[in-house]
Parts: sequence; structure tokens; C-alpha cells
Amino acid sequence: MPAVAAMLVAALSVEMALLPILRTPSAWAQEAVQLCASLVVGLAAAQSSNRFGRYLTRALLMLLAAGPFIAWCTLGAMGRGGPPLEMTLLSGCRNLMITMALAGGTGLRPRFADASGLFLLLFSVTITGGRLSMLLMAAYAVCGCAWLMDSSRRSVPRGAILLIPILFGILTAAASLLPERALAAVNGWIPSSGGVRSASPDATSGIGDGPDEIPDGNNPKSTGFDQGRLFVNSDRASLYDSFVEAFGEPVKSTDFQKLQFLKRDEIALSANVAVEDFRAGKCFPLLREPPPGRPSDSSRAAEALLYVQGRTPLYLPLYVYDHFDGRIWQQSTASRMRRQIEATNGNPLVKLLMDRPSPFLAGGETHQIRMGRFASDRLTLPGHTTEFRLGRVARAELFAWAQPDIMHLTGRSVPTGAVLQTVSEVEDRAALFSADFGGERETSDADPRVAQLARQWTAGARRGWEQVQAITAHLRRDYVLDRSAVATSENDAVADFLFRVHRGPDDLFATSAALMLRSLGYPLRVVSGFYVSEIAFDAAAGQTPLCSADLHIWAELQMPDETWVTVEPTPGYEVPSATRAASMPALRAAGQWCRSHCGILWAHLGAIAVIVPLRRRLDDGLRTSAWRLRRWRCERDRILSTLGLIQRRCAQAGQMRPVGISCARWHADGAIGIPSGVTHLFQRLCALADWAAYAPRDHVMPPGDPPAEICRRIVREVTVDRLRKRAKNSSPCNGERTT
Amino acid sequence: MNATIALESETGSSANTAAVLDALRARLNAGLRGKEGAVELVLACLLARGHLLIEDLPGLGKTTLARTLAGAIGGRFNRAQCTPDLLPGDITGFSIFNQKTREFEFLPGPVFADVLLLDEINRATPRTQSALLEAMAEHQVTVDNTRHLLSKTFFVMATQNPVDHHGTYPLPEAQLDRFAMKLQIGFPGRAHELAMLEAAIGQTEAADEPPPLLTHSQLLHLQRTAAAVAVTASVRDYLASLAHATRQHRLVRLGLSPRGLLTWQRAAQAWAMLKRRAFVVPDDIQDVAGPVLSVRLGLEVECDQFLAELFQAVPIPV
Repeated sequence: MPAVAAMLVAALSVEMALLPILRTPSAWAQEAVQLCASLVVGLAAAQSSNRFGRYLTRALLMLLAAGPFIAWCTLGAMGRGGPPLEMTLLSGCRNLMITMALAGGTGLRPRFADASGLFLLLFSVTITGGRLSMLLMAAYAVCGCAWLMDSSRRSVPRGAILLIPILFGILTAAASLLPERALAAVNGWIPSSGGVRSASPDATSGIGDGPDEIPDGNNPKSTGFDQGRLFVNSDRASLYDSFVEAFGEPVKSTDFQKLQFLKRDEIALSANVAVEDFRAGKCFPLLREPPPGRPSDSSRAAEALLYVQGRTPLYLPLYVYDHFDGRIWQQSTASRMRRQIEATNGNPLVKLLMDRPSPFLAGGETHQIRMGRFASDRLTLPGHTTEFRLGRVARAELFAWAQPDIMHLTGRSVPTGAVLQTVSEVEDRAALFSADFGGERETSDADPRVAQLARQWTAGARRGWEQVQAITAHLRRDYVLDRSAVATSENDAVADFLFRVHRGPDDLFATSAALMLRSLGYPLRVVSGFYVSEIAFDAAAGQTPLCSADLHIWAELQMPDETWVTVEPTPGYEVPSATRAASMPALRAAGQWCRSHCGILWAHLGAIAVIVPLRRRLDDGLRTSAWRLRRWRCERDRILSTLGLIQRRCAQAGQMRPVGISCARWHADGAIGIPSGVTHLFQRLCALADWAAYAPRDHVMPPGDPPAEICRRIVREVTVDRLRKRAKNSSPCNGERTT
Repeated sequence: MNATIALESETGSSANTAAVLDALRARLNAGLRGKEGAVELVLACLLARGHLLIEDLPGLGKTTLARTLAGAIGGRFNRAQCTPDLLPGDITGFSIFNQKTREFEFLPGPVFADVLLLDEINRATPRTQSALLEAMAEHQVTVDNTRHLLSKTFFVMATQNPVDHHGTYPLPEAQLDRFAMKLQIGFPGRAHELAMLEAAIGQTEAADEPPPLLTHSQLLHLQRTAAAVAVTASVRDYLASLAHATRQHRLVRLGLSPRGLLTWQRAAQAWAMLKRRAFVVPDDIQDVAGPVLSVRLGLEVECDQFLAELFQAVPIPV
């Protein structure tokens, strides 16, 4: 009775979870049909006694379980969009639970119903929430406790534990056959997915969930643009201010008059570059005054430029520089590598499409970045962002590429409180070693001393990522990060840093790495932006506030497939790697492993499929062979071993001897189905076993037939099949035996 | 040693222990019809050198059983009806001044017997009850600072009425622990009652007592043989585990005492001997557990449930 009540509660919770999708009369009708069908099939299964009836109910059961999925697929194919996949899963599981519970009987059915009831309750409560679901949970807990306390309940067999590896094996096999679909299904099982890849109208807007507009500006879930907030731009820190705060005021060079030989096409560029043009990161001069004191950590949270929620460390690139004239990095004007923006008006989700998936990127991570005092039109998107959403901005023409891989809002700066929700890929640092950069290429315009140092540092390293690592490792190991040790030499800050002072700010690290790697023929650029450190994480708020001290400059290397990956030469900064990402890459890797080891996997599954049904026979055969081959030291050994073997067979036939009852009494009680022909022999064996186990060594054996013959006959006659047959014949009249 | 036990009588002629025990069993069963189980336990208690507490209604054959036992083992039988005014001296005996010899003379009480029946022991005052402690535990009484030894096979059968509790003094734990077992005889079956009725027709006076089956020394020898029944280490371990389990059981306030544990082993040895075995098996321990534990753990109605839980908690060695 408590079990039935628990299942009712579970079914009720499922209905509650399904409520949002039951908006149309047809959905209601479908639900009613499913419920009725479950009831009918369950009752039919309980009544069916003959073989045909059993087969029929099994077929109906399968149809019932598959019904919601068939409906889902059909509606999807018709383009009408069925309910979300997890809802379908929920109703299918609910149908099975009801049917199994009604079908009754002993063994797997009620256990399946119990287990699925628990799963359904937990799942539906997780996705619904609210006070009513708490009530349902409490009711279920009460019913469950009553059920557990029910003394007539039979214990769960140990063999049930075997189901776990088998189920795992089946899931793995499924993942190997249908990796994308299966993984998508696994993704769908995780609550709050909201249907990332679903075209269903019931799916929410994509990333995360929760209300779109939260008036509390300090709440990291707030998606900004809320109407009660006044956007006052006066006290907001511009990027220029932030850079000055972090790296110091640029030194205005007085050395205007120098002779330069320029190619014809460079003249125009050179003319455009005014040394004074330091606006908001258009260029980045290395020569600077020492920066003012860094803000204290206590003011970080209050005065933050940005708030980041999600996995750290994280790089938020803002400006890309690829031209260096010895003192100043110029902003990139390259127009290629601009990915296509896919955005539909009315849907705030913007997708940045890639031509093809990069082998150096993996996984998908989500972040929420809320604007603080930071004022810029640039979107602080993590590198390799694939999808993002800025509040409820749903007009595609508002977004444009400012630079390669850098997006901005056209016409205005991103307002305070606006929240960027992003999905980005992570660099797979282990895969970078496999990149092929072609043969040696030396560039002629590099400083010969720097080029020679680069060759010296990379001696012995293979061309490719190994050389990059050799350079960064040297810089990270032998040089000291010191923000106040700004470049002093007007002529060659990099040489000064590399050969003389061995300390400097991170722009010198990045510049040195870029120049050295460029001298070896690698395409490098320098990027400035925010570095979200793990250390700055505010555990109380669950987010990382960023201030101007978190501005950072690093280098990026262009891989052969034109993906730019982070090169971090500055000590103290760590590049996140895909290996530290969550379970999806692991699942994907497992799927790939399964695909590549398909043969072995299927062989194992086949072996399991053969061994599992025959395991009892195999076990008994092995034990009996061992018993036959064994040389007995004495008769006591033989007798006790024989009794052990018979008890093992009884256990396999479902007749486990209770711990507190001796074998003789167990037999005398008639609880054990020893074949009638050998009852007297078994009695004698029990008496002999008493002697063997409990009589002192000097006691002679009780007179009677020799034990060797008795043991042989008993092992031959008392087989698992006969024991099982006897048990089956006697069980209807014996009923449930209590121990 | 052989699995069958040979009983050496004091004359040197060997008699079969099994036959002696069978005869004893038959005599007791003839005296108390249809109560083979109770008779078996009485015999086990006798062989284990314990004392017996019989808790049952009046008229169920308690006295008959005691008298038959005393007659069968050839000893002296005494009976004391316990009442609130019974004094310790009335049980143990007392010294009186002999006018002729001008000396104090000890008059032994009913305790100086081989089989003593104490009827309705819970009606005696605690003072009288405690006078029995020494006699039961040490087979001696001390009167006027003089120690008087009792029979070596001294066997007490005490009875108490479980229904009528007015004016009774329930036996304290210390007293109860002196008893080896507590038995309920219960009503005989219908067939046995019919046979009993038939046998009673025409009888006017008590029939002549048949001759005893055992001499005093033979009984002593039987008891020594029972004490020598082997208990192997695994069985001892099982017994100790059971005793330990009683001390942790929710139904039991005080667990089994070491004295109780020793009694349990002696009873199991006697039981194995009655089953014609020269070694104790776990079944023997389980068979005597009910009577041995019920007397000292204060279990009444829940005894069966307690025993089932106890046996389930401790696995049998093999």
C-alpha cells in the first residue's frame, strides 16, 4: 500500500511538471490517452496468465514506452514541434511506471516501478520547483519510509548490482552508435538545459534560465537593461583610463624627426598613425610612465568594471594589435577572419558561425558577464565565443565586428548592468602539439639579437607548439613580472627587457614573445583585454569582479586552420584548457573511444550477453569441476566441501540458507527442496557435517556408508535444475516462507 | 573415545548410557503423559547439575514429575510448601537443645534431599528465598556457623503460579540466576487426557513406587559424563557470540551473565548427551536456549521473537 501511494505521488509530480506543455486540448487528449493506455495495459498484464497473453502484454508495454517518442518524432517530422525531449522522456517513463506497478507480481516489475517512481519524482521536482513540489516530495518521503519499514518486503537481490555495469555498457554502446543524438539526449536529461539545440517553441532563449529582467543590478543573474535604472555615463571608466591605471600614462615621444624609408603603400599608413592618437586602445605604446598605485582588493567588488560568472581563468579580448613599429603596437586593420553573424530579429541569441570546427577547440562553456563601471562599445566576449546574448537586444544590426574576433555594439556603449551571456569553446591545449606549421621560415625584418635569442631558446624543440612553449617557458621562468618596471629605453624597450633588466610589465612579455616567435616565422599578434583570475573570485557573490588591475596583454598564435590560440608568456597567468572542462568532453571522448574500439566493445558486449544468462551454470560447473579434481586431505574436508557446494546450488536455485539455522534443521524444516530420492543421503550428509565441523579430532566418524560414496551421489543428484524445479512445484502451496 | 558413551558403573560392569537414559526417559514419560519435550528438558537440567523452575498452573503435574524423578534416580525426595510464614530454618533445618545429651543438636530441614520440590516458591518471603541461595549454588547450608554439606546430586524443582500474583514475592534476579532453566509444562493433549482417564479407572490408592533406576553414584557418573561432552572452539565461539548478542538486544535489560553462559554450555552438553552425541553442535545450543535464557533475562511473552532475532543475528559456524 505505501508503495502504491508513493507511485501516485510520483505520477502527480510528473503531471505537475508536464502542466506547462498541456496548453492545448490536443495535448490534454494525448495525455489522457496515454494514461488510459497505461492503466489498461497494466491491468491486462496483471490478468494475463497464458503465454499468448504474456507476449501480447509485453508487446503492448513496449509500444506504450515507445509511444511518446514516436509521437515526438512524428510531430517533429511534420514540423509542428512536439513537446521538449525531456518531457517526452518523462511521460514515457511515467507510463511504464504505472503499467509495471499495476502489473504487480514479484521480481523486476515492482522494483522497476519503485526505482522509476523515485527518479520521476526527483526529476520533475527539479524542473518544476515551488511549494507544491516540496509538499509532494514530503509525501513521497513519508510513503517511501512506510514502504521501507514494511517488514513483508523482500530484500533486493545482490545480482541487481550487476545491472549497473550492464546498463552502463548499453549506454556506452548507444553513445558509440549514435554519438550526436545520444549526447544530445544526455544533455537533455540535465535540468535547466532549456533545450539548447532544440527548435521547439517551448525551449527558452538558450543560455541559462530564470526571469529575464531582475531589477537588482547586483544580482549576477540580472540581464540588465531594466527600466528602473538610470544610465549615467559620467563616472564610468573608459578603456583608456583603465589602461592608464593599469599600465601608466604613455610617454609622448619627442623624437619626431627620424628618417624612415617606407614603401609606397606604407606611406599612407605611416601618415595615419599619429603618435598622439592614444584613444581607447587604438594603439598601445610600450613607453609609459610608471602606473599609479593599484587599487586595493577591498574596493574591487564595489568599484568593479565587470562582473564575471563562470569558469575561470578566462581571457576577455578587447583589442587586437598586429603591427609593431618598435615602440607602438597598432590596432589590427585586417578584415579577414570575420565570422558570419547569425541572428534573427526577435530572438536575442546571436550565433557566431565558424566555417568548420577547429581541431584545437573543444567543449562549450557558458559565462555571464555583467557590465560594471566599464564603458566601451566593445562586447567583452570570451575568446572563441560561438553564441551570445546581450540582455534582450534582439536586433541583429546592432552587433558588428569591430576587429577580427572582437564584437561591438554599433552606435553606443554597452550600458551598465547589461549582462552578456556567452557560450564559448575552450582551447584544447593538448591538441596544439599536433599542429603542423610547415618548414622553417625566417623573417628578415626581425632584430637579429632577438632572433638569435629565439633560436637559442628553441634549440632542440620541434617546430610547432613545442617551440612556442620553449619561448614562453623561458620567459615565464627567467623573467620577473613587474608592472612598475616600465620600459625606459626610448630606442628598444624589448631588447632592454630581454637582455638587461629581465623584468617588466606584461606588455613587454607579450611583445617579446611575439617578436621572438615572429622571428621564427610564426604568425603572432598581441591582444589586450581582461584576464579573469581565479584568485579574484568572490565566493560570497559567486562571481569574479574585474578592475583595471585585471587588464592584461598577451599574445596569440595563428594556427594552420586560422584559429588564433592564446600564447601566455607572462608568469602568473594561466591559460584554461579544455581538459578541465565538465563532463561533456569526457562523454564525447568516451564516445570516440567506443567508436574506435567498436570491435572489442561488441565482443565484450557479446561475451556479457552470453555469460550473464549462463553465469549460474558456469559458476556451478567450475565449482563442481574444482570439487571433483580436488584431493581431499581428510574426510572432514570432503564432507564440508560437499555441503558447501550443495548450499551454493541451493542459493542459485533461490533457496538461501538463513544465517541462524543449521543445515540439518533447514533440511528438517522442509525449506530446502532436496530431490526425494536422496533425502536420506542428505540427512546423513548433515549428520556427517556436524561431526566434521564440531567433533574433536580424536572422535571417530559415526558408523554408516562411506562418506565418499554419499558425497558423490549427492553432488550428482542434487543439481540446480532439480532444486529449482522442486522449489517451483512446492512454492504455490507453501506460499511465502518466513525465516 | 567412541561417539557412543559408555557408562562405567561403580561395580565395574559397563552399562549402556543410552539404555539408562532411555529407561529414565520412559519412567518420566509414564509419570507425566504427553510431555516428552518437558521431560527431555528436565533430564537435561538434571544432567547439567542445574536447578529447575517450573512456571505453570496448579494441577498440571509438577509434583508428579518431581516425585517420579526422585523415585527414578533413587534419591530422597522432600517437599516444602512455601507460604509467607515459612522461615529460613524451616527449609535449612535448625539446632535444638537436647535435654538428654545437654547439647545442641542439628535437625536437618527438607533441603537435605536429592530432589527438593519447593511448591509456589514466590509465596515465600525474600528472607526464606535467599536462604536457598547458598544451598542451590554451593550445595551446602550454614546453620549456627556450622557448614552442612548437601547431597552431591542435590536438585531443586521449584514451581510458581504465573496467574495469581496476590501476596507473592517475585524472585529477584540473583535468585533466578541460580536456576538453570525455566519450564512450562502446559496442558496435555486430548489423546493423553483420554489415556489418563482410562488409566485412573479403578485406582483407589497410589500404586507402589517402582524401584529406582539409578544409584546415587551412577547419577553422579552420568553428570560427570555430560560435563565431559566435547565443545569445540567454533561452538564455544558461537555460544560466546550469542551471549554477547543478548547484552545488546533491545528487549533485554540485563544481558546474560557469565554464570548463565556456563549454565548454557552445561545444558547444551547434557542435551547433546541426550541426543547420543559426544560433542555439542549449534543446534543443541539453540534447543536449550529458550528455557536457559527465559529464566534469567526476564522475558515472558516476547521470548520466541527474542530467540528468533538472536539466532538471526549470529551466523552458525558451518
